[in-house]
Amino acid sequence: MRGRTKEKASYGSWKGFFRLLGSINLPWPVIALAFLAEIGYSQAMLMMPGTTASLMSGSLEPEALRSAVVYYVGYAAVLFADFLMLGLAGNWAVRNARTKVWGGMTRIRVDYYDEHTPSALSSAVTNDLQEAVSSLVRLIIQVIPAFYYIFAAMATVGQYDVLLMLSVLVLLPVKWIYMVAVSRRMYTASTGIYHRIGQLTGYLAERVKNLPLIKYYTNEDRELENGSIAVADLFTAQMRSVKVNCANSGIGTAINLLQHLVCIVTGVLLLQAGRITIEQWVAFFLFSSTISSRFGELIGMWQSLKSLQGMAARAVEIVEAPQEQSEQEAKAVASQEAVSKGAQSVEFRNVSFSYGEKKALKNVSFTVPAGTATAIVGLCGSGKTTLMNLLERFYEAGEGQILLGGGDAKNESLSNLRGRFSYVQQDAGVFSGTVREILTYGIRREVSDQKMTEAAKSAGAWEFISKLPGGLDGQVSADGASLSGGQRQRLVLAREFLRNADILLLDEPTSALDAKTASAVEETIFRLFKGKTILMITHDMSLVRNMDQIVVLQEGELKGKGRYDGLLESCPLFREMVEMQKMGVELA
Amino acid sequence: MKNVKRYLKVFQGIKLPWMLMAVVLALNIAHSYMLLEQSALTADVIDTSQKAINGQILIRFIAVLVISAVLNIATLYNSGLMEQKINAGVRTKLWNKLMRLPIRYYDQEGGDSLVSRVTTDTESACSYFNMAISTVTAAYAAIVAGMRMYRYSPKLTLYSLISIPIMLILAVLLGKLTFAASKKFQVAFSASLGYLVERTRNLRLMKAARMEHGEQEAGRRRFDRQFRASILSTIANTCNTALIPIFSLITIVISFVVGGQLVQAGEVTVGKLVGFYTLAGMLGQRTFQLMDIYIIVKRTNGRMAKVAELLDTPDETAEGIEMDVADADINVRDVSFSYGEAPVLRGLNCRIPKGEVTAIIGDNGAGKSTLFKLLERMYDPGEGGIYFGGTNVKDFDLTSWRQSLAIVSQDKPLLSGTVRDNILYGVRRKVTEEELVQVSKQAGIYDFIMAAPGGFDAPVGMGGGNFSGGQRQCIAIARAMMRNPDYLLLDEATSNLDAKSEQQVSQALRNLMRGRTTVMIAHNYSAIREASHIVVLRDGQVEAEGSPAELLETNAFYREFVNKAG
Repeated sequence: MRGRTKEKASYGSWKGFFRLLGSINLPWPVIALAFLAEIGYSQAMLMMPGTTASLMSGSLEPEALRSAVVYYVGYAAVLFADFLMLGLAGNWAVRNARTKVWGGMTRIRVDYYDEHTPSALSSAVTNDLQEAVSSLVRLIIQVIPAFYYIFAAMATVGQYDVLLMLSVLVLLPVKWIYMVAVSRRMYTASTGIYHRIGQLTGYLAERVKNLPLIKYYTNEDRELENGSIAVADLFTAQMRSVKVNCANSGIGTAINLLQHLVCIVTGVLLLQAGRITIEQWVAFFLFSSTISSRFGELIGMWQSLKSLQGMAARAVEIVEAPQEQSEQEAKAVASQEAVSKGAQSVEFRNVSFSYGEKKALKNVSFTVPAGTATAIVGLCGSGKTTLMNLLERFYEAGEGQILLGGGDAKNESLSNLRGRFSYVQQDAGVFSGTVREILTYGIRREVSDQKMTEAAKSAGAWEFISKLPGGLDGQVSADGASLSGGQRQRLVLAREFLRNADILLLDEPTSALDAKTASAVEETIFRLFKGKTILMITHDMSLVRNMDQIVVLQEGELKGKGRYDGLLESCPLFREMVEMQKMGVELA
Repeated sequence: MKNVKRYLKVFQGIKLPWMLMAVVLALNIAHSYMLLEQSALTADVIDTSQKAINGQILIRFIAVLVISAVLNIATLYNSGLMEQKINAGVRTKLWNKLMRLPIRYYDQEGGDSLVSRVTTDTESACSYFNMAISTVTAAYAAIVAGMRMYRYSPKLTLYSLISIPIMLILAVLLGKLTFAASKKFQVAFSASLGYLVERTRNLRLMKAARMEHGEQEAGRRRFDRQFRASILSTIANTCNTALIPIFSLITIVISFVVGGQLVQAGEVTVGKLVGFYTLAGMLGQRTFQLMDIYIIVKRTNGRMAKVAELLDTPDETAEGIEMDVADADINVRDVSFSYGEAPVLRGLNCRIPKGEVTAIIGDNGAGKSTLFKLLERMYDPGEGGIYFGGTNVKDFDLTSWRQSLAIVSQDKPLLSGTVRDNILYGVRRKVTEEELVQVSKQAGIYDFIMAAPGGFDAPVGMGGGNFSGGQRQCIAIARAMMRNPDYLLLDEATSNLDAKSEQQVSQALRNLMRGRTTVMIAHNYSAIREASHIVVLRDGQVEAEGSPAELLETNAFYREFVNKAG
């Protein structure tokens, strides 16, 4: 089968398990209560054959009846308590774990994020954690009571007759072998099938997503055929999974049947020999099926441990990944406004950096004098964004120094350092919420409505904010999708204006916008942040003409720095880039 | 019920496996009959021998067990087969529909939601038939159990009827609680999921704003809310589980307290009493099953409603006159159009001269993309019309109209498969290797394709993720070249590329445009430098139209547009 899943290195180890247990502060009192309830439930199950057997075997003593009624009332109560506590303990633990893991995730170093897709990260906090932690809690609560039930039931049956106990025991190893060996094979088989099903649905999904392409290329007929083939394949794959399921439950049923037969035959023989009463026989019959099902539960738990370990591993990995700051540090700075030191120079001194093997920056040195604007240009992959990443200390600089206002940036606390930058990304980052929340995101001081309105006005955002129902309290939907790119970027600019940081970092702030909006946004940037130190990454060669300094990067190396005209003469790469864009102008 | 009828239309024209359904129904009924037999045998065992076990009855008992097991597996297999056949039928029908669906439907619904129509929603298509079968089976079992109970003791049966309204009321109340709880839980769940998805997508923003602690607290609040919602649904689930012992309690009291007196009066045997007790349990179980059906129908209806709606959408009108080969000007005459309330195009008039390059410029929201959609015949104009030569384009056969166009947009969509598959997409004729090589060179993709493992047979991943943006766009251009269209629509074909890629794409586009009438939307002057005819849109109307030289004189917007390029 092709669909073999890759497992993490810590797969199969118990260490990760205990580490997770240690780090998520499980709600032990609730778990203890749930454990007691589960013991109670096992006890009630143990009493069931005894109380009902006499009724089932035809005795109508008032005593038996009364005890049966009392028993069922008690049983309902215990069952209720057990389920409630089990659910409560599970959900409680999940909540605690989620808070812990998410908290860890907010503080992890950025290089960790690079290795994981956002959806993998969010599923680590949602599905995986839900599954891992609730199974873990269930395991803690249920394993011992299940053993207790099996042993106690065996003992009771053994009291009737030892042979009865043996007849229950004899098939347990068979069941064990079946569940471990056969169902593992079944599992592998069905993983392969699910993989295939995943591929086929993926295929259909891709075609549906590209429906316009199919239409424009008038390829409907052929896609119709392809689609029918995919649907037929899907049918075959799903039928294979049905067959595997049938085989699986077929064997399971056969074993259960065998168990029944052994028990019946043993019971009948003993009954005829007069060694047990019919009441005991009925009780034994009830016991034998519950013992075998609880035994099955135990094996199931044991099997789920494997996948549980895998899932827990991911949560452990997040909790234990290197963090930028501790929870206490994060909490301490949560209410502190960053210390502003006014416009300051930024200096890169012999900075080298690599992402793993790949060299991203090689010995780069340049200075952005306080209060001036520097453009960073270069082709994709030349290391422009890496410069920004190092300034924000998303990554620890490899070699060399970064100086802010002449002081080594390393000596500043992470939080203080980031507080001194305004960071504007290509596709503006705003989280959903009210306009007010967006405008004050990351700002610690109180901001009056008037200030917000003023900032929005000067950033050119007020026009559309005032049209939103609720104005400043108007809702902006997830990822700011309800606004246009230009509007989002203006919101970001208003926010950064309010934030009033010393140094402005702009990573292609206008490349997602159309020409007219772009130039208006650029105009806003230079007006709002006049007098600040500005570093701007851009592809737009016409924009860099008026910058105080231009820095040209190629494959991590500094190829030139200076003003537009000077660079045209001194830097061949810059000249080429300007000409390429001009040529584009002439040719396209 | 009226709605169900509407949803059942989904199955019209699909060959349903009626025989198989009959088999599944028969198996189900046989299986439930065997369960009933088991209880009858238990009663017999107790009655015939209070002290010893009758061998013959024992053998019958074992036989019943074996047969039930076999029936169980047979049911599992056949119902699986039935479900998959029905689902595949609906899926094929839906797929056929999608291929004939107007693109505007796609435009409005969004690709993702259409995907879940085909993949997930169709999974529940078989539910109606499953439900019908289990309803019949449950009703059959309930009736037979009831009849047998009556045969054992009519009096006892009447007494046990008391329990039914009690259980019904309990179940209805619980159903309401469960529904409310799960709704509340869903809301809390999607709130925290949405929160996490959004934040994890842009953790840098959080870090740059130093909001780690704030976000941790915000997350905690959402997880707390989710936890509180989960308590309610835990309680609801627990109550549901507790229903079963409560029901046992009621039947035990009725069977044995009332029944005990009947035994003493000599009206019932002890064995029959035990049998009655087991049957009452079965009846109860089947009643619960019947009550659940309503909930399942509702859920299935929810999913099928969307499928039904999609199937009800009229097809694209495809028929019309074949396109004649002779090129002609395209004239847009008094076209008005709106997606909903607000008009997007208002009495728009412009000309797209044959053999020339026309550029459409204007602010966002001026109607450029909408005009393209009308040219592609994704939508029909509300008023006015688009004329090719003297013919309204509406009158042309849709396929032949689209075949004469090629569209290169900024999305650069590739499909998974090989590079060759992508270049030859939609090409019906036989293409020689030489032609493939020649076109690849023209599109500037030959070198990197040869460098890729497998050359033209190099695999393309989903969405073409294994190629850079510029490479994807050049492959898309090669695809357009293969098609050899008379008309080209370029929708910001060079945006979102870095300078070097932009240059490569421009070179490829230039080769593609040679000798073809081209209409382009562009956001910067560099892309439209070659245009000989300019249309300036503003607020859904044409503000100016003419040669670049004319417009440079007369139109402020165009002048600014040009000056921006420096």
